[in-house]
Amino acid sequence: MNEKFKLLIAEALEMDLADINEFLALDPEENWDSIALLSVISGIDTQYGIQLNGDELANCRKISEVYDLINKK
Amino acid sequence: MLISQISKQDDVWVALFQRNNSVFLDFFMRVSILFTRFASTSWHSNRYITSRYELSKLAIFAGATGPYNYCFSHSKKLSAVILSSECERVSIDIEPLERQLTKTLKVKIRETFPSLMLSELGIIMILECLIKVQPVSTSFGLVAGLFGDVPIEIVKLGQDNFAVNFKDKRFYSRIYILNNLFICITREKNQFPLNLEYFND
Repeated sequence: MNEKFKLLIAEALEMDLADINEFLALDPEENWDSIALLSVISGIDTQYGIQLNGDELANCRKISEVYDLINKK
Repeated sequence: MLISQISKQDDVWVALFQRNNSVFLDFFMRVSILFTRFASTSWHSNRYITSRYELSKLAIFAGATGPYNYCFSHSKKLSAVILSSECERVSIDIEPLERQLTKTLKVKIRETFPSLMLSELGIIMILECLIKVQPVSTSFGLVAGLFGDVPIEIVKLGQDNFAVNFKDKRFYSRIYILNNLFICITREKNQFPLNLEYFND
């Protein structure tokens, strides 16, 4: 998981970069709401040129799963 | 708890409340709604239990004994419910005033709605409400709406009042500021109060 991806996630989840790691949990009741999802989708589209599926992303429960989604594309 | 009537001509009510993680209260709420028409389908989630419980209280307060439409919105420990006892399609979305959007998301939104005089967060809230008020409601709908994959037109009617055109249907939205929250309400009729009024719980 590289710094570029961590920075993207930190901005999307409004968290400190230092707190972003592969085990970070994505909880729909806390940090993984629709705006966070849209932020990640738009960030990945802009920075990686990859369009993620909203439903696939919504089902991710750890940051590492989001990273895996990108790598599969 | 805030309870407000959206329109005196018809029965549309909003309640805003803070969720509590008390185990005792959670148990009490589950029992309270278990054998009512407000029984939750998501028993694992405290926020849905709380929302259903508050919906049941709001329905009693509003005297809604017949069919109804409703919608929930959640933000951290706060939740909101909107109820129409006349089955008008209604929806609600709440977001904290301090909610920040990323630059890339703002750019995407502006690409889709370049001339609309409304903040990017306001646009997202209106789209969320539109998706909730429609029969189809998934995060894919929001992505498609924001990225311009489906034709949605938002027209500013007044300071905080908007018409939302989607296919052959028109809805109306208004955005309020209250309790450090943006509160977006969408309905089929263009009737909104200037402010949301408090009632004591």
